[in-house]
Amino acid sequence: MNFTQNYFDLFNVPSHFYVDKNILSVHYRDLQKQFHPDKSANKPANEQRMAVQFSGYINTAYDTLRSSVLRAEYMLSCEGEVIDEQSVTISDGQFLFLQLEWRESLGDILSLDDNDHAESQLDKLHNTVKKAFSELENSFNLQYTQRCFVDAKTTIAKMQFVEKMLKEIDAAESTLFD
Amino acid sequence: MALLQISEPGQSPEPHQNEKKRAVGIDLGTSNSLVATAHGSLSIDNSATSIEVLSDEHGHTLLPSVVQYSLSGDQKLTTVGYLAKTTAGEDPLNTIFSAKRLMGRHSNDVQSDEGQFSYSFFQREDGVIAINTAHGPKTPVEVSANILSVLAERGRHALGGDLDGVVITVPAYFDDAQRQATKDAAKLAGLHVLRLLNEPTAAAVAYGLDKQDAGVIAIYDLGGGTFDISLLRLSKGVFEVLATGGDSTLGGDDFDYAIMQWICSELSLDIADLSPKEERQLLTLACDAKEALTDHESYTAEYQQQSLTLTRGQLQDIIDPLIQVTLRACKRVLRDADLDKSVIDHVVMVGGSTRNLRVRERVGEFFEQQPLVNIDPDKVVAVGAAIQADILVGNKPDSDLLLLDVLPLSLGLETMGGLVEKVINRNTTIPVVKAQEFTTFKDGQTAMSIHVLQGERELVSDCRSLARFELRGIPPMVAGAAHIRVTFQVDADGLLSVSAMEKSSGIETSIVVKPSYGLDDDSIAKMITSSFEHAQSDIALRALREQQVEAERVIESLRSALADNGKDLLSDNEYQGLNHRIDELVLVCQQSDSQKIKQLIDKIGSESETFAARRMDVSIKQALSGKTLDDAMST
Repeated sequence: MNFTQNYFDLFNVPSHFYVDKNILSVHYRDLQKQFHPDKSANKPANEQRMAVQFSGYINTAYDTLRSSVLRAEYMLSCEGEVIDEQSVTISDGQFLFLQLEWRESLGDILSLDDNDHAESQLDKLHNTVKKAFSELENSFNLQYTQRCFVDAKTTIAKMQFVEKMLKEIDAAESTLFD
Repeated sequence: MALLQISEPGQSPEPHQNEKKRAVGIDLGTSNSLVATAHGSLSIDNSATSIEVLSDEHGHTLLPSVVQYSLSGDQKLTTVGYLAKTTAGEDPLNTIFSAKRLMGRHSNDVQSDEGQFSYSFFQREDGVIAINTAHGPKTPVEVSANILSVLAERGRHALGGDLDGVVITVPAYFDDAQRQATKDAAKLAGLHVLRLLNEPTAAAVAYGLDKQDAGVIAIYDLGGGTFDISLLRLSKGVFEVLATGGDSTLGGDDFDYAIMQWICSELSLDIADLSPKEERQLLTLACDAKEALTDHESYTAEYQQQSLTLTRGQLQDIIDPLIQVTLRACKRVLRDADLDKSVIDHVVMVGGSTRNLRVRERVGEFFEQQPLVNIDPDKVVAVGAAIQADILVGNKPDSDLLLLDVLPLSLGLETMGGLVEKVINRNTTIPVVKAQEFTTFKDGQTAMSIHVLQGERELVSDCRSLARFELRGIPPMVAGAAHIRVTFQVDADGLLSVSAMEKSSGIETSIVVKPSYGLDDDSIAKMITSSFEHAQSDIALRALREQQVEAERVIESLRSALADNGKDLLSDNEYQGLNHRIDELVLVCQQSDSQKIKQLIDKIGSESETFAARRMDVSIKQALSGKTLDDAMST
């Protein structure tokens, strides 16, 4: 058992930013079928402890590979590139302007009286933001393959911004429709 | 537990291989509890198993979760179940209902509902709630242990001997303190807990939905005192909990209470003026009315020479706001899982309160499909728990069933300014191990207090405090230079342990989180002590038996591991060494020194670590080997 094993190797998937999530989940279940603590519920306590740790490790690896942001960070960290959140600054004016614009639209939607109209506007905003996220994923993939790690880090920072925006849109949906 | 028989070295290395182990599943409910077990031969064909919900000598399967602590002269009488429930009106102060709602709770948590308890409780100095009874203060853990003991006895009677293990179900929404309290109750009742299983997951297993190929299932569980909604994805026997939510203080009891409030306002009674006895009578009346309206359009109740009629329509108006709360939670959980209602293949109804037709109707409307109600909603959880107990105890080595559950509420640490920094988000699959680094705030700071919290809110005061502990002896450094790594580990029962380490000095401290409201091992030991007449010898004997059972597991598992691939993975020396240790342990087990057994088990544990690691590497390769992409896609 090797807790430093590369996550991609653990799941027997190609070490590539775009992972096939279907294969990932199939392999995940195969691994848990073997190592989940339920499989050692009647085994000695030390085996149970080990199972908890290893099964936990599989879960962490799975969560990392499933999330674009975490996966990107992980791939950089495998290259020895540590991401210090404070040190990466985004100086892309256009990107920052876009953030402000999105936030403003969200505020406007929340103050709408017509719920149906708000819903369609929210969907529209959601799609725009989601599209921006996919574009960032593409950029990261390109920068990573070309080993432009400094740019890749900035892209990750942007992805975090956009992901947060997506979450806020989800949260707005809750407040609107509850 | 029967004394273990350990065979001579060399004879029958795995004596229990062909013997079915005794395991039961227990649904420890707020209003009613049940116990079930799997019958059937050790056949590979799972269908040979049948599940029996065990009944008492009168044929009752439900055991009301009611305990009465009464005095008859100098005799202390503890009554559990129907008798306690039916005589509750005569002795409301000593009859404990709904103890589950107090499990792992602080008195602040339940203050707002205090009027709903007919008995009185107070908070002990250690933070644990205790109920005043004729037998002295009783904690909810003790009350639950009394209920568990009765159920376990049913199991022993039906299976003809002591139980090897039990699975106890808990609401998915239970936090760490509530889970810990449930485990403590089992310990107090002398039971070996194989797993705490989430009730909705148990229900899905009971419906045999695992035999289906794939799909997404919603489990709507409205019990007496709790509401859970869970979304599960099923694929080839693996249940993956996608998201779970609910309200641990909402249930059918609240329907009764709301109906009672209505009755009181109709009869111009002030609830505050009611005696505990009158309140209990009115609650029973409310509950009767609610149940009767399942089959009838209206119900007429008599109370103190006054009669009043409740119709189905009126009932709807009373309970609709409560049902609405549950549907809002359903919406939230769909959003958490990022799923649309339309992808839900089945809706399973669990809990006695889902008998209510209005509940079924509203849930059906919400999910736009008929919910599944063909298994008795009271029994479905116990049935699922029994299936899982049978597997976990080892009776079904070939079973494909695997339950991957999630953490119901986020875990975090207190940071500066009374804020909570989340370390593990809710709905993360468990077990989970996660580390986070923190640093010192002041120059020369040598200690750090670590405050572990559970909940979704930003402020410490809005979350549940699970534990506080201190990391001392940090070498003095400038502020921000020390690196303190705090590791959270949540096991498959959803229980947390935390350890902290200062990285440069290697100073480490760790605790299994025993929440401020839970009990530490000492108080459990004390309670066990006081519950036995010959306390000392019993405890020693119990410790010895526990170690012997553990030793038996070590021997069994190491022997089979060695036989499996010991010769391939170990040098001759290592192989001989481990075999020698097994013989040693067999001998030590025949003596009655539990300490000695434990030491040897620990020694074997560390000596066999390398072997275990090598075995795991081999099995990872096997688990994924020979799988081409096509295979993977077609599964």
